[in-house]
Amino acid sequence: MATKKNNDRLTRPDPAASSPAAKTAAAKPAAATQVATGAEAGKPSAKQPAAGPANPADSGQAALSPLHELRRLARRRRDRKDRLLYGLMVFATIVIFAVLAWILVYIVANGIGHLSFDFVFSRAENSILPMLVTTMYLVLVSLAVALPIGITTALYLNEYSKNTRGVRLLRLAIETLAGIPSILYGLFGLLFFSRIMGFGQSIIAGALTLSIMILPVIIRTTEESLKTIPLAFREGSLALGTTKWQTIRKVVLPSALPGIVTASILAIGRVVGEAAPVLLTVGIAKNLPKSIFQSGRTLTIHLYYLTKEAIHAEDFHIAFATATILVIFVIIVNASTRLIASRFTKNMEH
Amino acid sequence: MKNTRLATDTFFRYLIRFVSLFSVLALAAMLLFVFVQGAEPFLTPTSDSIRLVAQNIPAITVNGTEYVNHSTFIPVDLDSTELRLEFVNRGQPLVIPVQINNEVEKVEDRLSFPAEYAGATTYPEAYTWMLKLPGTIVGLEQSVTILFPEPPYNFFSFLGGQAWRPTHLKLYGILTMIVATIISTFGAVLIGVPLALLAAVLIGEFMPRRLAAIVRSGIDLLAGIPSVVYGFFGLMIIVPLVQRMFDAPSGSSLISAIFILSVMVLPTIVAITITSLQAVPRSWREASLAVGASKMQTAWRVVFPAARSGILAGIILGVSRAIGETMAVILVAGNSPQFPTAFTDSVRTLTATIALEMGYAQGRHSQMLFSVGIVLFIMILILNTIVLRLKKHLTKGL
Repeated sequence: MATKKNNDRLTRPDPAASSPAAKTAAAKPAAATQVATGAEAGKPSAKQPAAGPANPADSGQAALSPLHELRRLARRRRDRKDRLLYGLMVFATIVIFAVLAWILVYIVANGIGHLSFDFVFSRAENSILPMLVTTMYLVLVSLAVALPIGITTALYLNEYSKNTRGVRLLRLAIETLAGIPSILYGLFGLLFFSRIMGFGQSIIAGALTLSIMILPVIIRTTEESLKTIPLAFREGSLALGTTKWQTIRKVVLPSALPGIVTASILAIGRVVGEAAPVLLTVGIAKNLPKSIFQSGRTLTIHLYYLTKEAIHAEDFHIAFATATILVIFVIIVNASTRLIASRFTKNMEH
Repeated sequence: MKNTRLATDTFFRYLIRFVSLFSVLALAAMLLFVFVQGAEPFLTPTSDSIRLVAQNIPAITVNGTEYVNHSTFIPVDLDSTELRLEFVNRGQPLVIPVQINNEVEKVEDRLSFPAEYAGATTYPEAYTWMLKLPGTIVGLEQSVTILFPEPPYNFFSFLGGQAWRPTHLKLYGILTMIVATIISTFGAVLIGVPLALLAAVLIGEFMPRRLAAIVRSGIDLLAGIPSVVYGFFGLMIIVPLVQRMFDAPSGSSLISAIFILSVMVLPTIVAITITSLQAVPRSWREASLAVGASKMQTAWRVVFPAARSGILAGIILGVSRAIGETMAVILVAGNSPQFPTAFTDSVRTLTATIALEMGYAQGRHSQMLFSVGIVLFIMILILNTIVLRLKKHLTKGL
């Protein structure tokens, strides 16, 4: 059907009529051939050589013009489809960012007014100081465990390992760990660290659980940064007669430092934002923890309980303020990793 | 000097190799411990004997053995056909013979008390009988609780059972939760994937580099927001909205969970799609443009199909994120273990069950939560395997 229309238009002699004709033709087949749009771009061009000699009587100008018109028609139809798709894509992106903005603005706008120095740092009844301290303990202990192990594993994978079966198994294990939902880490931590090792519900049990959870993040990020260090750095060092370990300690690790810092920040972000495994292993005790062997309540768990049990308006105010602190923290984490990443790539280029 | 240097080098080589094993060990330990704990309810009964608890009875004789001031369980052989309880009630010595018939189908009828005590006996929980007699003063009632061991639970009534009544009826059917998890994940993917793919192609193929970097940091921010904050937002905004829109009794529902999850899977899918689009060689785009395809056709008909295995991997990772999400879902889904018949029904997912009940679960109930964890584990491991296959395919294909 489309080809018949095209032929009709090809035999039309009047070049002056080309512009309105193109308009009507563009409007009509658009409805008729919408299903076949995929073939549209190819078909007319295949028809051209046959159509050309069919009208030898036409003047040179007239012969060129329908061809020209045809191409323009095809292009216009394609352009319209492209524009539609482009509009859809822009729409999708705007929707995503609208949701992001909605969440951020709603929480920060409602919470920022309730933030005060007393709310965060005093020992008043509603202050979140105990939660901050618990969260900080959790971050410090889990990083202290996971960072050395993670960096060492990344060093092994990038500097020492060959593609053996054992290394493939190691990579498989890391990939699998990265995909396991956090609640399952919570189950394991509750069983192993709290019950079998006897830590009970305490910060240390939670920190050990979370340290396994953040291990894949640290390994991946550190390995990425190790990969960007030019081979020449290592060769230069080895050529001076150093051992491999000396090269790693004096050349590789210092160059990978920004990557390691990024890994730590990402890991901190995950520990602070995590809730499910913390609920199972650290517990919900609201008082200021005296040591890491006591139970505590992190910011996220505090927000969870406030949200579930809020009755008074005051509870909602505290919930909003806590959520605001979490959101601000996430923004700081994101900004700082980006900053370090851009600095790092600049340094490497020099 | 040289020797110590070499020795240090060798030492660190082995140390690094040794420490690297930790990830494998951790994964193996996780699988082992969770599986062993979760498999137990299906293999062993809850105890090897019938257990009695006597309250406010200083001395009780059970089947001829006397227990004085006994504060823990009194074990009775499982094969006994009679429980002969002798104790003093308000100054009168009592002898209560309780018949046990293990052949009876209905558990409640397995114990038969003498007719004169029928009014004093109750069956408060499955596998539990209670004999209550008035004491010397009000409030000091004497009671004997008889606990039968629960037999190994049938695995198929676990997976296919529709009733989750862990405390009283001791029924552990998780089918409703599996269905709720699958429906909410599917719904989230249905909404999230088109949005994520459209946005990812725009960011990866059309945006100038500088703008793309800014937009991507926004996407990263979306990924970084803690799930509790999503849940909080959902409870404050989405739940009331759903309630008003559908005129439902409560807005905590399947549709709220789907909405929150669809936002939460976005960043994963977008980020991985962009990465796999960028992995398609530049020459493919140039070839496509050179034969006259538009930029849009190049993006959707050449680059997108070439990156499809990576994109699929991203979608599956999004699915596993939705399956594993806990706190946000708890806050918005309502948490009733029932089959959803409408989008506004309250549902409970597998993860929600674990997080909600682990705090107070005892004995078999607690072990059953680990069994729920195993189901979750298996789902995730299957998805992970598919992702790894796809990634291998991707690296081979290009």
